[in-house]
Amino acid sequence: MESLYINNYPDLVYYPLVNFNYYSGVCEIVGESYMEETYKFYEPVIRWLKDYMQEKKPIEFNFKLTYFNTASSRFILEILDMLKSYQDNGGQVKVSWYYKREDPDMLLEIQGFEAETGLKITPVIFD
Amino acid sequence: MNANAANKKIVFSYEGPFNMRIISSLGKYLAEYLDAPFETRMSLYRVFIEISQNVALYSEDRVKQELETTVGVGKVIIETDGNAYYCTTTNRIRPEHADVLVNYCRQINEASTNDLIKLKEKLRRESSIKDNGAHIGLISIRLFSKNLLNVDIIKENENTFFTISSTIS
Repeated sequence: MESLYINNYPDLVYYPLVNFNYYSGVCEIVGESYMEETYKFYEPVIRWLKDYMQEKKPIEFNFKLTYFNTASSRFILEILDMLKSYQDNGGQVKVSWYYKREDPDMLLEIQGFEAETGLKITPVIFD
Repeated sequence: MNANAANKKIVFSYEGPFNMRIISSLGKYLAEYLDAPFETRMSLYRVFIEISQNVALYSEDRVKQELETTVGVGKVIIETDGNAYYCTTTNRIRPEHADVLVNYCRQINEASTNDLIKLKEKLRRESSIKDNGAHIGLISIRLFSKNLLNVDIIKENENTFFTISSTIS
């Protein structure tokens, strides 16, 4: 199994950068997410995570998304559900979400995901 | 022209296909270049993207894109009266969808913020990950803007148009 790095559209801000490191277990999704074909983009991301979880290694997941549309939020929920289930079955999981201090709406989204999934998400302010 | 319309200044308007590259470029202008506080710019940006994606996904007028997909055609206008920003889109819909849309927007307007958040979570969880839309865009627009949705149905000859406006203050 190899690390997953997706940055196919660096000029298109509606595609996030995906950087999942197989060796360190640090997984990051960075930028914004509101592409047209959401499933096509996230399907390999979900598949990689499922395969990685088979190896029972620790996961440190960092969301660095400043905006995501409703279709993308469905996949974020899917990822968080997977992480919660992994944790419930003994997996080591740490989740952080980076957001701007002057963006209280994003903090509400983070808290909403935390309440809905039951997974601890640490909000981290970045400037 | 009514008094409110007379006091508004157009930030920009666009009519054509709601292709993502176009939406994104227009949205970035709102997020980065408006002379408004960060929180206002972000709310306007998020409302603009959601409301535009409604046109892209659901407008009856469609044009072909690459890879045999289609994208909706419509209009958007961003205005300000100095106190608030107004984001309005118009697109053609099927006549039989008019009442459904108006009633859905009325339900969204009548619901409390907590109820809307719960409804959003319920609809999102029930939606398939293979869907391009989770059918919660209108709820998100209401939550991002923190104001009521203004909707109107316009009939012109054989055509029915859906207009929705969101206020960001």
